[in-house]
Amino acid sequence: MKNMKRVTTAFFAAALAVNAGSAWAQGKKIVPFLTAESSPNAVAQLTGLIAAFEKQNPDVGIELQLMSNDNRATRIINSVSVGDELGIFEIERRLVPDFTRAGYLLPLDTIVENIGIEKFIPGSLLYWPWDGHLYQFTSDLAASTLYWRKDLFEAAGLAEPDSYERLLEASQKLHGQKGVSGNAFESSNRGAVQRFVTFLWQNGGDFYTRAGEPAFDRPGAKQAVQDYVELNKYAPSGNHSWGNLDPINSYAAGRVAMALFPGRLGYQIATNAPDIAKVTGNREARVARGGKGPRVVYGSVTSFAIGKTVKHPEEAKKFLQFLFTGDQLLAYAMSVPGHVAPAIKDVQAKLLEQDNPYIKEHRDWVQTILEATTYFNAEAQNMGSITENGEFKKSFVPMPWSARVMGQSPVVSTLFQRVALQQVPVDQAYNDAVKSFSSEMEAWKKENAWFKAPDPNWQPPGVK
Amino acid sequence: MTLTRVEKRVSRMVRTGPKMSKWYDSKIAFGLIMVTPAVLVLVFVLLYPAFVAFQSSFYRITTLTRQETFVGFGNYAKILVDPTFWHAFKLSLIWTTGAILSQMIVGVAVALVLHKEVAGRTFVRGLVLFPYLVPAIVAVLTWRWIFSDTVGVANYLLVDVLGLIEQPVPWFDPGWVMVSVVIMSLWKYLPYWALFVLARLQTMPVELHEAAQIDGATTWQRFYHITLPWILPVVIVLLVLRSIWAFNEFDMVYLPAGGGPLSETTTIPVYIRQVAFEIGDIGHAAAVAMVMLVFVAILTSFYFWAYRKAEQRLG
Repeated sequence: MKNMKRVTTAFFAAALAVNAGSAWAQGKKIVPFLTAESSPNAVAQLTGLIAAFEKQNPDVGIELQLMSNDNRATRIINSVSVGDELGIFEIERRLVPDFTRAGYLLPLDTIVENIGIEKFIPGSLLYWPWDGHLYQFTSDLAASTLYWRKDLFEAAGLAEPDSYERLLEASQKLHGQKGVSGNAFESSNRGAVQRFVTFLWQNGGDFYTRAGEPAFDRPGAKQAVQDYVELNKYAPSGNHSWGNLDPINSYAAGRVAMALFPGRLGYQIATNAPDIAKVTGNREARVARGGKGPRVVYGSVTSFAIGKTVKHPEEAKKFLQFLFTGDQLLAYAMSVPGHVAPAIKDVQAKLLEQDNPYIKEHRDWVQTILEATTYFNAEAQNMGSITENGEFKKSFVPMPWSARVMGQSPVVSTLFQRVALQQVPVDQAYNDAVKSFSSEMEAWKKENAWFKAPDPNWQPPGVK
Repeated sequence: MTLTRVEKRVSRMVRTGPKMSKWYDSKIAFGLIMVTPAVLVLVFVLLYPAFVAFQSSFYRITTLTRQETFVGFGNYAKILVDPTFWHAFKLSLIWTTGAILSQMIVGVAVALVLHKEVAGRTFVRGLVLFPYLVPAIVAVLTWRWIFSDTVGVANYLLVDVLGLIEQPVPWFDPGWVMVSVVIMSLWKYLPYWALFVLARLQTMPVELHEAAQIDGATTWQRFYHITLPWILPVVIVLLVLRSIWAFNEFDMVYLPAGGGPLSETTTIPVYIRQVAFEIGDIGHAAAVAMVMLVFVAILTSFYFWAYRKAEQRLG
């Protein structure tokens, strides 16, 4: 009995000691940092940068939390809706309207004021049009360029693909030759939107106007759909179920002759398929008839937000500013050179001068990609950038209902899959898509009475 | 001899029987105290969330803001006329039937093979367990590679190496994607069936087979009249458990194709996710979950009836 008492007392004493120890450790201000970065290099970079920050700020601890890219939205939505502490997190474009409206995000204007707005690439910061504040801090930009197999083109006597006609001709001639498909213009739920929008915009079409009215019924949109459907015939047979990285895998395996993709593809083939990289060309994507149309491509802004429930907001802002400026931002960009393009001008300029094998060997690719970040557009963040007369005037109005039309089964993916897999006539599938874009928008507006078209003359700070 | 205090107490108990105090010495009360922790866990982990889900099904609840609006049976009425729900229900039935039937047939076959006295049996029995240990995401990613239209080994073997077919199989086309998903789940859950059935086989009296053999019964007759009735109760229990799990399965169905193409892998659980996180209505999602619960309960009742019949037949 005495021994039992001693054992029990010792156990509880040990438990108390552990708790006390934890409490002491929690004297440090812990800031959670969620990211869906999957590249081992990028994660290693992040870990190093966190260590550097913690060294400078010994009273702050950054808790890195990795999550799946596919499940990112669900994870974040679950956290906010149960009131969990949401620290710094990479926010998907389509979630920003709901999150901002629900008041889940901290304003980050002071970070930009500290850095100086003039240092940012114009238009890279995504201010919220309805109150003028910044809720998502841009870490980097990415833009699509066209990768193409120079060796196959030369062997077939094909010209460089700088127009729709040449894309189609090359797709037709190269498709089925030695196990190669003509292109990687997919119709999958995960990739169709990103490939298709370049066609849409360069043909003068768009999904909605800047005021939030349907625009997919424009002639340019119909032309883009017809062109894309035609090209999709020469993509690999399973393209409609592709995941995020399947275009890269297919290109790296030498199974497709062309791909429209951000800089990650170039870096991956240079690293993992150097033989393919040697015979690859990279150029600005010109996909409309005759290579005409506005100069615009699909791109994206990677941005980070800070949840209002964060326990240490000033420390979180300090870390965000530290991570995405100066040498830290350069180090972060160098984790996947050419894919991660810094949003700060002088950091972007330094990128090309880095002593990095990939940049040295493919400097021209990186230059093309960096230039594309000056004329990219993102469907969920830049609603209505293509005007009625087909000009590109970048809008900074986000699409509040993008989760409905670009979510698990995007309207355009369904359109292309119906044509390819169910042989639905293109006109019928297109008309159904026009109706879907309109009806989903109406349903969203009915549930969100707050929505009003923003001031047509509003521009975010830093944009002339 | 001086007895210790404990010895005196024991001696008194032996003479007079254990002294029954009011409640804490009662056997029933003792039993209740022992099961209380498990009941509490059951209540908080199972019953309470189920009750909250049931309650939520009568509201429209915005996922992000948790704003609630009472709609009564509105969510259920919506479900009844929603073609997307019925399509998802049909796919759930197809998926569950295909997955369970294939796992049962192949699992029993593997168990019968492992029951034989063959060289390396112990090693093979260990190897059979491997797929079950692999996390679902790893299994799915591996099979996506195998079925890839550009770099997949499945079509390479079928078309180029073995020449069994002329055209590659479109594993992720709408007509094939569910077959692909069933194959993935067969690989993953086959060990579960094989091991349970094998354990049951090992309790089967050998004399029954020997006697039947002496009487001239064929292999099929011995299987049908002896082996099958013997393993049937276990098979039915596995059917109940695996059917429930398969019907509720999310990851093995969602991960390969994200619910597509053209919603051909949007089973009920995938549909619930879509409603909850894409459309953003937790209440509607809860109502779908309740409908699913009712269906699974009906299915389970049927299985238990079949189990009783099987036990009677064996008896």
